[in-house]
Amino acid sequence: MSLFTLLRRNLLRHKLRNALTALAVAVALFLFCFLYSVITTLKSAVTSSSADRVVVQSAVSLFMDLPKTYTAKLADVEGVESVARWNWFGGVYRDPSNFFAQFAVDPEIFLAQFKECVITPEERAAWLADRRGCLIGRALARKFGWKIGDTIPLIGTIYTRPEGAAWEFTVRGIYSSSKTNLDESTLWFQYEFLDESIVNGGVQGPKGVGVFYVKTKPGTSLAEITQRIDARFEGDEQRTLTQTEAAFQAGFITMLGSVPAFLSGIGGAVLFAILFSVVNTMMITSRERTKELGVLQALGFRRAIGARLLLFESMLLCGLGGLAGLALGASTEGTFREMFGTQIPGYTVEPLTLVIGVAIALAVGAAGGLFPALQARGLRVADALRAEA
Amino acid sequence: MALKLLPLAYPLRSLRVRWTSSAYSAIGIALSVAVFSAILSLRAGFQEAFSETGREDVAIYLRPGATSEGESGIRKEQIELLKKGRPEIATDADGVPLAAGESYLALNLARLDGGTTNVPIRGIEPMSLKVHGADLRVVEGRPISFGADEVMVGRPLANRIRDCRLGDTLQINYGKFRVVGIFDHGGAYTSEIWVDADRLAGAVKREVRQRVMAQMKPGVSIETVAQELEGDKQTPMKVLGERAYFASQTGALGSTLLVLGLLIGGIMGIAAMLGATNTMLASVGSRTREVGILLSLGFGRLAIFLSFLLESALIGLAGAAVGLLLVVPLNGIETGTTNFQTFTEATFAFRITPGLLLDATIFAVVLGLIGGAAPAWKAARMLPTQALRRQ
Amino acid sequence: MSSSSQDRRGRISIAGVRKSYTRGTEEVTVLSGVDLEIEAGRVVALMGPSGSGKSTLLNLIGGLDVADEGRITVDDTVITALRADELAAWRSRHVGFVFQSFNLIPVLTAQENVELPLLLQPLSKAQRKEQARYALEIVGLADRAGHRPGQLSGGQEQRVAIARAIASDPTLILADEPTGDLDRTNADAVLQMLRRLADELGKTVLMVTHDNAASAFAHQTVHLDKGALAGVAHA
Repeated sequence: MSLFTLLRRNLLRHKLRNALTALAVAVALFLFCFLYSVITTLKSAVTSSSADRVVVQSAVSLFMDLPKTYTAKLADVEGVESVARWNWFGGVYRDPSNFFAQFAVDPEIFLAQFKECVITPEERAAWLADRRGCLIGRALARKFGWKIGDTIPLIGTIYTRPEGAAWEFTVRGIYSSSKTNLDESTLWFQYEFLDESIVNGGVQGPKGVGVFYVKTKPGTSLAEITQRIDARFEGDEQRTLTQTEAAFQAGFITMLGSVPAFLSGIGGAVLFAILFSVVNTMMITSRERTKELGVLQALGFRRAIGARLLLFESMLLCGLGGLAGLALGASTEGTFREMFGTQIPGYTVEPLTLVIGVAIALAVGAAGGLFPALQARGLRVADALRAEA
Repeated sequence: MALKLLPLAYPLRSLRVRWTSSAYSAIGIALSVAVFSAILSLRAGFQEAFSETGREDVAIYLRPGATSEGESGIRKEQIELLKKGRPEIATDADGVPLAAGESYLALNLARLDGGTTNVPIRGIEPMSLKVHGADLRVVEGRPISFGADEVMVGRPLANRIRDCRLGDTLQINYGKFRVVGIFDHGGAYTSEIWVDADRLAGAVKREVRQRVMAQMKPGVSIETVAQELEGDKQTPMKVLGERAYFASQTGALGSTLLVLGLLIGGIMGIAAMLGATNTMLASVGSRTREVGILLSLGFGRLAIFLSFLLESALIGLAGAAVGLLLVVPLNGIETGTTNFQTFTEATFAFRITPGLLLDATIFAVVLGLIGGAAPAWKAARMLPTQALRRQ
Repeated sequence: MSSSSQDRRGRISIAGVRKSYTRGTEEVTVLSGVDLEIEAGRVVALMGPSGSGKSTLLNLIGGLDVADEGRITVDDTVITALRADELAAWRSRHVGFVFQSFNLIPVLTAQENVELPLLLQPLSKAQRKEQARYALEIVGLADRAGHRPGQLSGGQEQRVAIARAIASDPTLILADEPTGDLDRTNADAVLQMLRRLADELGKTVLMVTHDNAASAFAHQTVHLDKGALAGVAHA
């Protein structure tokens, strides 16, 4: 028998009430875990970006293509090691709701620049050998059940074939990604195939290049080379905007506008609401315990003990609830990754998120218990003993 | 036997006696209501700006397969063929078709609060202004003159995007365009910059246009036109009404916001409901004797059940009032996010509609009722002797 | 747990004690200068009408409340000069309380309730258990050690409360209406037990009571009226 016995028994005394409170905390922390992970996942594309790649786009618009002649001109810029052409394809698989990203790229250069795109040598050889072949991400393959050798029909929205016929790509490889800047939900196919279709195949669509991915030579300053590239094209047909890969990725996040702030605001409101719920429960608890706290003091326990018991009880309650919510948040990582595979590719619950979550749960518990605890401290023993149970 | 109900004052007084506890659960519900309605008001504003705008008698012609203007591309000769050859297009007093070939591009521009975003620019023809008619209001400055490097800018953009104030100069590739007007338009067009289509084509060296917009003759069915042009040999086109076009551009974000609102509001609601249950449980617990006395006085179980239920519904109602007070100031605040359907920044305002107020109030009262049901049931099931004996 | 008559401790000396409360806006004087000497090892009944200040006096002696003026000395300790935490520590060594409504902790068993004050003593777990057991034996409830308060009768609950009060071997037992919630038979048993605590274990027992029968078990009866001493009767 110790004071912990008392604490434990008290927690179990009102099973329903305490379970409801813990459940409320669990729900809140589950929500926190999800919202926070969405934000960290979005940001991880920036933080894990490569330090030797820059992206060249039109200064006017991301959706304005650059002339094909820029490919050779870029290769001549000092410090450039390789240049890959990238075109956003924007095809629809059966229904627009099946959205996923597709790019036409120079396959060999792309694979050389993106070591994080992991495929077997056989897959690599098969893709390079097939002009109509494509490479798809592991998550994408899982979502639609595609296997090597399958044909994927896509209706072009930007590049349309005569009579609205579908493009057909044969799966030659399924890649996995070794870094979070490359998601596993993209389809890659050969730029030459797209270009040839526009030139000879009656396909309509922009004839230029969407963006160029440029790998720099070792030791090249990224700040200098981005300026050098933009200066090279000043006065040419199209002005360019060259950014590091990290800045390019970050641009997509700022495009979300106030969404991340909005998510944080919601998260804050949720935690605030739960705080009230916990304070409420602890106030009810403390009111019931008033007499008990008086008895403890009459027995010679120090005044602070009662307050500490309340505080500790509240933290224990919230800590347990929080752990349950975070455990659920961590265990549903895979489910959410599948569910939002294309919207939030690579959804990941980071360990730090869980640590912050536990800290928040305990802080809510401490804050929730503090007010009643202070109230208990201010109570005169003689009054406490007279209180109604 | 007539149902003997407890006076309304009874639950009211009980709320007052336990006011701190009642207030805490009301605040929990209030915050859920606030989040729930904030997200839904964002959606209402978004819908107001897009799907509920656009005219039924204006048709949009896109390249087949394109789901938005950004993806479309129509050659100039096709545009001329359409304008001259289509019987459904209305004409003005001089017999000129009321149709315009417009270009559309998402400009990479700097936001005033940092970062860059994609702002749609629309290359227009003189006929565009004629078709829009009174829907377009130039609120500052004047409309652009065709043949000059001038732009006019949608009203909300002036405060969000750099170089978009009256008198500023906006650089597009090598073209320097002066901002000569600020315009307002009922719907999605207010998020755009308008420019002479030919001047824009010259600046970005791209002749291709993105759409034809045309006023229909009275009685024309756009659906029939769409079927007719779908498989046309010379000018195959995807045709839809302007209203339908806008609705198709908001689908994703609108439904995402709805799902987000329901999901997060729902999860928060559950948590708040648990709080209300706790308050009511404590309320019932501390009134055991009271219930015993009421029972022994001859009040029925139903009367007691209803009285406790009413008490928790009142907590929900108070939560709704506070929650809506928190959200109402959002009404009219403009914000922007990227509409991933078009990949351009959409500016729109939070809109608190009467329907939303009603939904939020129902949401809160339902939370209170569900939260109070179990405790009220517990109170109603007490045996009078037990209730009286318990201390 | 015994003391010989020579080194009997538990002598209480009260001098010029005043106490008043503010109720709402008006100030109510509860004790208006009380002087009283209580010898060690005696059972003393404090009697008087409601509002006479007898419970307040008991709380002041037990250090649950603080006097506005005056001095209370228990043996060599001037308790009116102690700070709150010092008072708590002093209480844990020297005072055992018994209340009208028993005030047992409902979630703890009889044994655990009795052990509770022993947590404050420098005892091992086994010693605590044994001492609590012994206290329960004294009140004749060793066989109910594992029961929770809810499973005991009122009389039994009060006897557990007495066991809790004596568990740490205090010098003073302070009882506030210990028989108020009990029927005659149980009340007499409790009074008998309190008398034994003084006679056999040398405790000083001070009880506030309305029960006229209680004075029969007391060595001394002190009457209070309107906050002042109204008379002292020796048995």
